[in-house]
Amino acid sequence: MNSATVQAPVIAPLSSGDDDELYEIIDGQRIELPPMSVHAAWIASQLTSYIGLYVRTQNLGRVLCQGLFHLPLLVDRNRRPDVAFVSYAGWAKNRPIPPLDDAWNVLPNLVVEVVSPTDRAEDLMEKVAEYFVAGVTVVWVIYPKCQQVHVYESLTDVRGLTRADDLDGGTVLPGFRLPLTELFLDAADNGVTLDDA
Amino acid sequence: MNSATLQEPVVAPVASLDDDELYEIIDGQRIGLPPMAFHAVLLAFRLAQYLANFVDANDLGIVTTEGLFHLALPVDRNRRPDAAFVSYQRWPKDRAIPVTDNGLDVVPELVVEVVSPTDRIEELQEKIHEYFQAGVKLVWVVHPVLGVVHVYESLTAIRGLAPTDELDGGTVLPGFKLPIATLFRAPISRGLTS
Repeated sequence: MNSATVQAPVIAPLSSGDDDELYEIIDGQRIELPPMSVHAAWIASQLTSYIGLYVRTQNLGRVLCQGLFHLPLLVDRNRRPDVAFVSYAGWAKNRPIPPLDDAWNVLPNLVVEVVSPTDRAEDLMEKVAEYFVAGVTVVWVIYPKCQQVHVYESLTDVRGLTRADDLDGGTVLPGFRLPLTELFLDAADNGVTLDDA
Repeated sequence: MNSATLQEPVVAPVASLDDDELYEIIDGQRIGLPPMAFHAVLLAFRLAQYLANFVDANDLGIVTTEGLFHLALPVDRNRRPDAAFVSYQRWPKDRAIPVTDNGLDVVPELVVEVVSPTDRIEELQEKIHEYFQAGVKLVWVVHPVLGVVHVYESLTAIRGLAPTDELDGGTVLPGFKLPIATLFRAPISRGLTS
């Protein structure tokens, strides 16, 4: 294996190759992820393709959907963000991705979590906190039902975006811009039905 | 009953007075609230206590914990914020609070939500959305595990406050200040950094 490790390599302790359950590793324990709604999965897929197209044409790095990452923390946490961007500065373009590992031992620059109806507030915020402790630069939290996005640059530096706004790549994806109407296609389909107030 | 209503009076349609479950009304349906962690109850009470001290000393309005409010929305929503402030501008001091109604037919200026372990993030965000649609001016979301408070002045104007920061009443309660460290007192560690 030719991957330099961020810390002791404790990735993927107990899975087999035919395992299709989505899990994370929390304090060494394998924890199954809550189910993702099809709407959330659709939004994650859309974002993956928009960001993927952009980083390919700009030659910036790689985008993963539902990839497992080993976070460089003092506790053993592998997290599986819905979408993640890893720059070529973080993992060189010509460096192969380990073919046998379940988790990738690299720090994403950008992480996206798309909220599903069963996601718990505390779990989500704890993930966001971990990403920043680990060194992730930007975290986007997408709320499909309310058609909002929270852009975190730290736990305390937050911006809220609504359907009228553009999602901006900031320093992580310079030049990337996506009108949120491209993600939240139908204004009436937000389930909240408050917009005619 | 002497309360003027913001719209159709549909507060508390199904409750009786001997009912002790905490519920909200969502699209006319009575929905039980998820259980609140003891620690969250403690934080909500502590914050309400500081608010009430300030509000009483300055004679500004009323502060509640777990009070049910009928939100003035096109959909039928009664929400029960963990703590809330209603000024005397919105509910005059000399106007009696109906003694038999479960919900109050007024929109608070400030609401506080303290996150409990079983709270769903999407429901929380939906509540915040509704509060602003209804005319709430300031929403404080307290995250006990992180020791962080998120201050919403609108859906898009959000500030996060860390233990070294100070919560302030903004334009809703000018002069109110509370250090975040005073709110949380003993920080909770999840072992991420030490």
